[in-house]
Amino acid sequence: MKPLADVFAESLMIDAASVTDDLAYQSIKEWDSVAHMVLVTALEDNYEIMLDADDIVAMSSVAKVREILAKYDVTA
Amino acid sequence: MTGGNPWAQIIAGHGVAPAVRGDDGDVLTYSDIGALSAQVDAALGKRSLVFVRTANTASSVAAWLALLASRHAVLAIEHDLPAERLAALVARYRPDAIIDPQGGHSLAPGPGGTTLHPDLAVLLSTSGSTGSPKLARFTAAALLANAKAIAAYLELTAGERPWLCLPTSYSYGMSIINSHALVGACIEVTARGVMQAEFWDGLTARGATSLSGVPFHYDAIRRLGLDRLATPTLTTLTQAGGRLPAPVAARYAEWAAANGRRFITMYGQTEAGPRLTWLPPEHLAGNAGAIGLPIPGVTIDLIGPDGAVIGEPGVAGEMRCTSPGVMMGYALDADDLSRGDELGGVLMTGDLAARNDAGILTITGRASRMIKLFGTRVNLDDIDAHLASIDVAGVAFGQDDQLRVLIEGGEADAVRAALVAAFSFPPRGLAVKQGALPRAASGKLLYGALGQAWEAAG
Repeated sequence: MKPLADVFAESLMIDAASVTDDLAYQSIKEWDSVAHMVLVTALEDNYEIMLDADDIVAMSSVAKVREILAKYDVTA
Repeated sequence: MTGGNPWAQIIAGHGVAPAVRGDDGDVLTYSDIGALSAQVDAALGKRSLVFVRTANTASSVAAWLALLASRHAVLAIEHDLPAERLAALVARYRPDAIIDPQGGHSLAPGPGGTTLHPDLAVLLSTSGSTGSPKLARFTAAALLANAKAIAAYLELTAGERPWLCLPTSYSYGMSIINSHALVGACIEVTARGVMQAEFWDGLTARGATSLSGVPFHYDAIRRLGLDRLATPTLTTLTQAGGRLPAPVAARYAEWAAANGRRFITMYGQTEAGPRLTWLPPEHLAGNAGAIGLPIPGVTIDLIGPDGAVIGEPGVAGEMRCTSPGVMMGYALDADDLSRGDELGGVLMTGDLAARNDAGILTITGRASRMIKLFGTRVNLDDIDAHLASIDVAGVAFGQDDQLRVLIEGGEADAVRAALVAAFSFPPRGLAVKQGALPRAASGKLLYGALGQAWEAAG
């Protein structure tokens, strides 16, 4: 299982060092709807979970993603 | 003041009906747009070339319509377009003024001095995300004819509330604005993305009646669940901006039929102002993935390699479209803006298609250096030109949703970062690799061998 920062970095094609808790959807060019789709699939593959649609659309920041993952018993 | 522009009478005719609402809830009426048009006209003083920097806000849509209904010539530019790209367009076309609707419709003077053909009303970028210098020139009448055809086949009324998430500077987005302004509907514009909760909350709360998307949107909605579309008011789904795979189109068709909604696949080209075909819902069964039939007023002939019109079904040829919406011609620089109509309403699309027995058209291939990146049109020549400008030997190629750049020198990550910064297409669609460019003995690049070279680059 990869660290959350690596999943983000690979999905958004950005540097892992720039993946901070306050990084938000649409705050950088690289985190747009297209990358968000890739991120969802990568999170599901990495943690072997199936994300609920309401959770997918609520993943508005790295911190929020971490919070949502906790609902699936994932500590990231 | 606004002379013979038919759009001025149309806007005025809708009175104080709401015209557009944004995410912040602000509503602008058609009479507000008329007043804005007069205010901008007074500030400009004479017929001018105006650039308007549009975002997905009520003030941007209002500014676009105010200029469409004016005696001026207008080019809408994505608000996100990097500053150096905007500066390059300003230097090339010398607008008289640049309006930023986000700054309270403030009007900044431009260099000016461009001679405009009397019929020129609108310029559309052939690839907005790359700030392409190549523009399509339109008369007000051409865009009106296309808007009328769209309003007719979609049976639009003043009660519509289209959910506009597509960029307003993009021809598909513009056609939604124009066709709904024609009938006096209120455009519900949003800057939210399809993967955001606020997008869906807004779509429901604001009573949207139609949703228009590119294939990416329909992929995303599939992941979120189609039942998300079952709001009390949403009746129509339209798709254009690239090819939706047949099984996906069939899934939406099935869902729409079961839920009493309409799912409509369409095809167009910026150069055609833009709409050319639509697949009426009654023809969806068995034709999923097809682009359908010509819209009212449009004729499409398929042209074979010998230049003759293809008569028999099942044989592919290049689509030649005859439509009142076709552009006057391209512009490559300011001097071209004085030119008149060069196409006579006939456009060679560069897309190959075949007809079935019922006359339904299906795209079979493409013959131009243009790809769609999640609905955004990308001109590969613009990418190549930027590589050259940063002294990188490389070439852009690829297919829809996969833009590939193979570079000979330089560092792939750095080149990728430079391209992401220089353009406004969705970055996830871009991959850069370092490897050997396939060349003939003459040094000429072998485009056909790029795929192999890409794989070899590892």
